[in-house]
Amino acid sequence: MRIERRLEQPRWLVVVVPVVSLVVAFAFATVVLLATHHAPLHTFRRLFDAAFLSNGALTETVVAATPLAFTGLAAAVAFRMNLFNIGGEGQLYAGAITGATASLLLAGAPSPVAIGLMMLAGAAGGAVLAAIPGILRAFFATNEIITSLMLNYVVALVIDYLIFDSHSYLRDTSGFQANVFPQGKQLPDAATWSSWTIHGLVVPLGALVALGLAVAVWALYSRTRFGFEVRVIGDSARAGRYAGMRTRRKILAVMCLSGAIAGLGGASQDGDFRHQLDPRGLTQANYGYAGIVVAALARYNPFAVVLVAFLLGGLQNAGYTLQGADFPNGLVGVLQGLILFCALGGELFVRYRVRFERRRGPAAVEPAS
Amino acid sequence: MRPATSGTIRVAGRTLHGGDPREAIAAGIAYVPEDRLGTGVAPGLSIANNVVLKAYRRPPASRGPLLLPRKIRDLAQRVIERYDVRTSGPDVPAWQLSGGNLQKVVLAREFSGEPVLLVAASPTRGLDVAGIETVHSYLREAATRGVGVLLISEDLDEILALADRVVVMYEGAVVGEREAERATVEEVGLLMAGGEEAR
Repeated sequence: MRIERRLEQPRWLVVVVPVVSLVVAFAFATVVLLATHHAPLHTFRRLFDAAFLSNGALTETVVAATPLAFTGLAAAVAFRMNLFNIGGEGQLYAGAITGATASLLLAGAPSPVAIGLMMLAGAAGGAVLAAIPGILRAFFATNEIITSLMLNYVVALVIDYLIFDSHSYLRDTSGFQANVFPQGKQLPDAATWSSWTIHGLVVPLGALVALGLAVAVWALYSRTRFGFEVRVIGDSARAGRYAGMRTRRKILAVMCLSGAIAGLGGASQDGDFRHQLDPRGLTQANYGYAGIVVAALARYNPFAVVLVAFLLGGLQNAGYTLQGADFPNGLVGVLQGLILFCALGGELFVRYRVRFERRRGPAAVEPAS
Repeated sequence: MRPATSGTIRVAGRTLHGGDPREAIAAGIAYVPEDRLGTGVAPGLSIANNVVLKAYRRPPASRGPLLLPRKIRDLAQRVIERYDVRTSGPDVPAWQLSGGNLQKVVLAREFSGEPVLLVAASPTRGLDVAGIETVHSYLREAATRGVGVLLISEDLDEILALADRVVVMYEGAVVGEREAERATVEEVGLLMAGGEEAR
């Protein structure tokens, strides 16, 4: 048995492989569910209902999917150039901090101004943070995986410090409860991002921004000279230099772009959903790391990122609904893990194929090609 | 090839500051690198994209910051037909081409920049007989068109067959210069190995 790279990737594979992966995942899940005395079909039905069908489920799924779309796009943008920005997590926190600060400073400003500047501040916060591993990588050949990952911990501590360990500008220090239960200041109403309700489905502004970004990223990468350079450098940095491309500038630019998208996701958390700087909620959600999975599953295609974020958002949302007295949290995690594992594992078969061949003994010689 | 540590580079009277590929391209230097797959082309990208690896900055491949994919495809189609590249189309990734066909794409691209100087480093290494013939004929064609050709090779038969003037380097220094018509394989080989009496 041999695993070899496919010479051609038939288009049907792109559809068949994920479907088969899902079937395999459900087969494994069935075994787990039977072993734990749960009815498999009933559980799958509930999972699907909770994600997409039941009342308000779709709205919750969009809420869960929006940050994943941002961090997924952030990862995809960088990974396309073989630039492994693992710092989406920290860049999202940074954007949440700068976004919340901007909205508090702008108290009294009209809503469109406040929201617009909040987005700018969030994007800038993420971009500045991402510029650190970007500069290190571009000019000192430092491994960006390590540096961007380590910065996640730094920013996680900073965001904790701002609310729990200090009397910072962002912390709510008024009232009797504020010292016992520290939390972020409530953001002004004008800084609440708009949302639209269509047939009971609530679409937050952040989700639309993420969609717009997906289109913009696609256009940037497939229709501009900048995108061409990113694709060449991502495929072979030596070929890029040979062709006279400025690889250092491109590394820095792509890193900042990636950070800005993640930071915008952080600002969307402030403005769309949380309405305060919420360190506990953000650090427990792991949006940045989940975004890496989203990008990988989407094969770095921005439109696929949005779709995968939506599906993963549904899976996450279903998880919250499913868990209860009869269905432990751990089991939800096992099911989610199985589905993700099979989906990622299946990817192998899009790019590679397995060939079975009989051993013909040492005399057999490969025909010259 | 290694980065320069001293000296100047002059092409057709123009002094280059060195170390900047873009400046060299602008000065009309075409370069066929020794490492075809990886430097000469971006292996995962399509033939079409590799054809415009250097020309993507100007029309017709792009207009301002925008890329024109249809024009790029047309350019590649013309290269495939004119240089007889054996492939099923311009969208095929470069790594699927054979060495000879890959070298045709590289040469086609380098000629399309209308160079004044062509630097070719071991352009026939690893090619089959037909591929070597093709590359040789393109190098000769370039020379007849008035392009200066600097062929870097360790294949002495190739050098003596193609070159007008042979310059031998040993341990980073020029150790000898001969008219190709009067040079022999033995003499050049001796110089290459650092032989004193041949100088």
